[in-house]
Amino acid sequence: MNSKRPVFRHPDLPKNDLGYTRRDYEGLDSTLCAGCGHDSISNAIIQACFELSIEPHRVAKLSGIGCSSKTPAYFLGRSHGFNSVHGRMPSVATGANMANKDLLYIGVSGDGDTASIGMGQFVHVVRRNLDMVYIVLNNGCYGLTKGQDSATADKGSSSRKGQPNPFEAIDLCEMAVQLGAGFVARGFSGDKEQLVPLLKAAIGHKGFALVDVISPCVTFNNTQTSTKSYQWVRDHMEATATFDFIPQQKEITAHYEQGATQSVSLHDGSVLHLHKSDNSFDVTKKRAAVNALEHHREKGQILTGILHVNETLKDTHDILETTDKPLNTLTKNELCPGNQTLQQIFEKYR
Amino acid sequence: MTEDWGRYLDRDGDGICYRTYPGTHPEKGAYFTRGSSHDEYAVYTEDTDAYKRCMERLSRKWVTAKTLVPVPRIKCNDRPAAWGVIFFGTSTYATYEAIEMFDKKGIALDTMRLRGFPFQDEVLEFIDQHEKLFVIEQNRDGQMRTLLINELGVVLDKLVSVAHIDGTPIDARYIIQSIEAVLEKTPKGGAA
Repeated sequence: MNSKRPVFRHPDLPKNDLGYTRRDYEGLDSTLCAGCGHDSISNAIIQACFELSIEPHRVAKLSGIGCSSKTPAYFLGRSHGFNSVHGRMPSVATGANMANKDLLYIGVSGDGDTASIGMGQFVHVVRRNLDMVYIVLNNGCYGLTKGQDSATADKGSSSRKGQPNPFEAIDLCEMAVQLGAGFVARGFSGDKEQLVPLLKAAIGHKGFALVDVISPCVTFNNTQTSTKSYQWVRDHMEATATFDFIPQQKEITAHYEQGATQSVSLHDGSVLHLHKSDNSFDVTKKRAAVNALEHHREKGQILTGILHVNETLKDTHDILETTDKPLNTLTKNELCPGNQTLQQIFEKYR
Repeated sequence: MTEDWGRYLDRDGDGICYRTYPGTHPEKGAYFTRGSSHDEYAVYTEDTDAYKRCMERLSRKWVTAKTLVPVPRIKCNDRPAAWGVIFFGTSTYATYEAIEMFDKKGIALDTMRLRGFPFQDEVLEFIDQHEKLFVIEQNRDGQMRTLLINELGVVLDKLVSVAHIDGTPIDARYIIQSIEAVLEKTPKGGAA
């Protein structure tokens, strides 16, 4: 099949503050299976970037290997992208971020790419608090190689032709909270209403932001016996809170009832207003997030929404006290201290 | 910019393509880096002709690379030497020490310290100028010797492997003993 999208654009297409239409944030046609949750996530990324009026060329999109990691070809066609080696996206993201910290880094990975092959990289990019949005397209299986169980497949869950998974599942969100991530959220590809603002909030956060998105694999892992199927997730998901994401330039007009609402200011001036059913859950407390995740797991539920936010953490550049200027713009004059300075440094070691 | 640009488009025939930095231009220059299944414009393709073109371009890049990597350091004696010694990396100073000892014994050996790959013409010229050569390396299978044979079409017997593989750093004594063992079996007046 060879289908091409028409290049015609209706003159009245809505434009954002930069004058771009949503089409300007799209990528190539997806080659994933029809109905794949990953395509919904690509669309949510497009929507979030469009609505936030992010300049496409100021975004770098990075990925590892897998169905998930193919998706950067399908969104933000005007952004630079790097489809890296399996599980090695965090290293590439770190290198790029060190060279130019002024870009928005969107990393896309899968549950296999993150929780197995790239686990060593994932845990360290979290604890270093690299300023990036790390999106896991979590379908609980290796879709690209015929649906074998991944490390996030729940114990007892079975895919289309598989046996019940005998191993414990890795909860990436809980792990990220424990490792000190400043922003941790879980979404569902079938819930765009929640996912788009989740991504916007993650973009507004400075430092490492994990968005683990449960994204059913329609070909291999969407059966009644799978806990990553559309039906199972819809039946068992519960949100920490409904919330409003207020971008920095928008005036806050809504009235929020005291007690039931928790407001969190993000680094870029945006504000999150979380409307919770459980007032005791404090999104800024690590322990509360871990407790909530474990509590819902015991009940057989999937907790979604914003799980943890901490805007007080330093990101990698702050920790390492790097220069404000992007490293790739520094010239020899700034990088070379000169012979006299070098000799002074040598003197200290004599 | 009015000219056609592609991340893997070879504009000037050297096999090395121009690249853009992220964040530079609002509309032009963005590309998606992925494996080898792409065309000249970094667009995913399974087109066999495009794949072949990209492979051939990498071959040209390899040829260009020969002009960019460091040339070997060659030291030849005033009197013609039949034997040459090839080495590289951490074998360097142990080899120079051994060559000095041989010189004191009146045995002249020319040396070539490899410093880059792909091999330049100078490497083959040095090999051609000698009857036999020792390739000193710290690798059981003598992979540098194999590389020289494969890349330059050198006759197998011409390169004698001196491989040091006992887990300690190579030293001059080992090199001297290894070379002497070969020289003793060689008729006087030339290489066997």
